[in-house]
Amino acid sequence: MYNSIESDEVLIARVKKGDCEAFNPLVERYKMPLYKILYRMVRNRDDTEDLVEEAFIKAYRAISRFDIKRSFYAWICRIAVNNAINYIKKERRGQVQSIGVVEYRLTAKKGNPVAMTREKMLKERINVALAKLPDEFRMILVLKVDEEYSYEEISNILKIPKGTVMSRLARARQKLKKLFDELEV
Amino acid sequence: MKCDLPRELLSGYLDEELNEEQLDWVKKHLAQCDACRKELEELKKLDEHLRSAAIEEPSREFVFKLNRQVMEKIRKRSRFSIFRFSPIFVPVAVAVLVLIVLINIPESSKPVDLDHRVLYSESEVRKDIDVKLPEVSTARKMPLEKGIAVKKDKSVVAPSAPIVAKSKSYRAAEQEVAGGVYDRIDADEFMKTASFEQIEIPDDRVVRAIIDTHGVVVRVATGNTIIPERDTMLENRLQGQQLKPAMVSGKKAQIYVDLTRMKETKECTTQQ
Repeated sequence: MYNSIESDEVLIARVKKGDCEAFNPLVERYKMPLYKILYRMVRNRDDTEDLVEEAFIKAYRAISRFDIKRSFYAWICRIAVNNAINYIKKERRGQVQSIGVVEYRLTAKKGNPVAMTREKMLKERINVALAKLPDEFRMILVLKVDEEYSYEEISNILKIPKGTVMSRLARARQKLKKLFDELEV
Repeated sequence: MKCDLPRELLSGYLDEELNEEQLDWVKKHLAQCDACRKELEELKKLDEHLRSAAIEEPSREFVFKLNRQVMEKIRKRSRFSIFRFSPIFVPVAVAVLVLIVLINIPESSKPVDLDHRVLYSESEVRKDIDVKLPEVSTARKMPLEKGIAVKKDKSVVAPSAPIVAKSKSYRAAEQEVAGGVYDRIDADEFMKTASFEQIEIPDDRVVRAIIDTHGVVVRVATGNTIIPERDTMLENRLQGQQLKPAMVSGKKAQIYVDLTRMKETKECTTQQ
């Protein structure tokens, strides 16, 4: 049994030596942060949960190549994001966005001031706008705004030129702003 | 007035990813363009909204069972790949496997090492050996004597010749042979092979070859002393030449053949 306060380095060193049980605290430690990132990208709970699990399995398989001097979270985050990008490209091409759009409109039109405080309304609006945003725009926004990757890093993750990162981010912001404004009741 | 600032630069300014030239341009523009300042503020707010965007809570299964699911898959994988993380395990496992294989190889199929040369050390011993040669396809009488010595009791000899050579005198080794460590069998016809017909064996050198259980020449040694060294040039010429396998006590045997054109002897030994 491993103490959850043991550092990532200690746990990873043990995993590398063949002690797979040492991977368990790492799963516990990073499952929620990974869930949050991937949910923002995928916007679907079940898909996100599957992708988080896949990310851990892939990380375990590749653990022998992990440089222990680097941040484990940054490393597994990269694995998870790449995996999610591939998933979105392959599995979700052309699929309809979240039903949250419909739910939001129904709730908003009721105009119940108790149920919908201003703050909650804003969150719902941004959620719906995000859900309606094309995948490629949402992914790049999550990587930049939520995860604060540099343009260089995003360029490497998405395998696009740095100039494209800049222009795509600008277009993503414009599109999100337009969707957000349209949802104002 | 229409604003001429590219939106990429405004977005890049927000992300602090502009170079010095771009940064100067945007700063100067913002200082005089209300619309762009307003848009910049809106983009900042949008980013804040984005960061605060609600996330659907994960399921109870995810919260409570993810660890178990991941670990089950990992354990399953680990069971089938015990080599993955142990760099020491692979060489150790290979060594153990090789050892097991070697232990289980029948004595007769082990290669006869050139170090078995002790058997040839004394011509007196060779004279006493009863020679019994296996049948060969093409006969050619060699003008020399030949012989085969067959190891009789491997438990007495093992690890055999090299140690015998080091620990005992040749005379003692000879006595050991005479005392029954080796069978003696006739080998009159053994050298009558097509292969050996074509071999040019130097008159002034000791030449010996190892013939495997299939009757194929595998190694050759030559020298001008009683203890020859491996001769790869001659070996290349002779290697792979097919003789009829030697049979000793009804079993195929590896043979250590002395091809030396000596005045008196021409002999070979086998190991069962």
